[in-house]
Amino acid sequence: MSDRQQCMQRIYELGFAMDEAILFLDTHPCDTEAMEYYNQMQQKYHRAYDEYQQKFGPLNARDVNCGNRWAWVELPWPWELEGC
Amino acid sequence: MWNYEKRLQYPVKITTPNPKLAMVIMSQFGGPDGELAASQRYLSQRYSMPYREVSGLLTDIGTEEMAHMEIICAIVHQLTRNLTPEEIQASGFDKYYVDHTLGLWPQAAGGVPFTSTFFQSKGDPITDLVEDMGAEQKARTTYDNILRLVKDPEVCDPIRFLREREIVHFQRFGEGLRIVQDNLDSKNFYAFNPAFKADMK
Repeated sequence: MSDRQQCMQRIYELGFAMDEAILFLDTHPCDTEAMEYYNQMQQKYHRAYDEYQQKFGPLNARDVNCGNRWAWVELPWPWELEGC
Repeated sequence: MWNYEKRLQYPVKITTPNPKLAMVIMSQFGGPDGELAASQRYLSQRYSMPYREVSGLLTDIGTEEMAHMEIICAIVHQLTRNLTPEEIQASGFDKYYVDHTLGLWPQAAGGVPFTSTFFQSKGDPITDLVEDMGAEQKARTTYDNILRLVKDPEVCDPIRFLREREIVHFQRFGEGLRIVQDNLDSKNFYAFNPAFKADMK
């Protein structure tokens, strides 16, 4: 696995942990244990997300670091074999 | 509004094309129990949902279904890469190819085009949530059917992920239904539509 793939794997895992926590909290909005879990995953997720964007390029069109080129459309799209 | 994150919810990396399998899996894009119908079902239903927790659930599951639609489309796209006209003809993909080449278009495996009649938005929280629970089970059955036809582990992996999500969503919608029932007025013994106030007088 390349450096980029490893970093993306972290995002898949932490992003999924957050997706799960969000749905659970929708129907258990007072569950303090679930909120604690959400907070932990949120921190880790943002850290991995920022690291990926700094090293490999934007994951959101609003986070493009615009110099003299538009990096949003340079990197592969997620459905491309090279994008995952 | 929505914000696009440039990644799949779960990775798809299929190295061996298989157009025959693509024809079948396509049903989870535009078929009766597919991800497009799922996303539009929940996102349409949320406006008349009177309880905020459950509106949140419909928003968040509806959003996840859009990500699932993207996963299915990525699978179909990767299963139909670099095909020769001979492979297209031999696999039976020719009937789709003639109208769409290798583009993604929402249809069921049998060729029936996507239609909003695949889902309902009834404006009654109990009716809608019971439909949603049924929809998750129908999608789970469809993934079970697909898994019996798939031998390629690179295809099985994301399909199994999607199947598991149907089970989790079923559970959450069951909790949503419970929230609605807990909120029913004690005088509303027959559970008339709690979202339509004229019934309550």
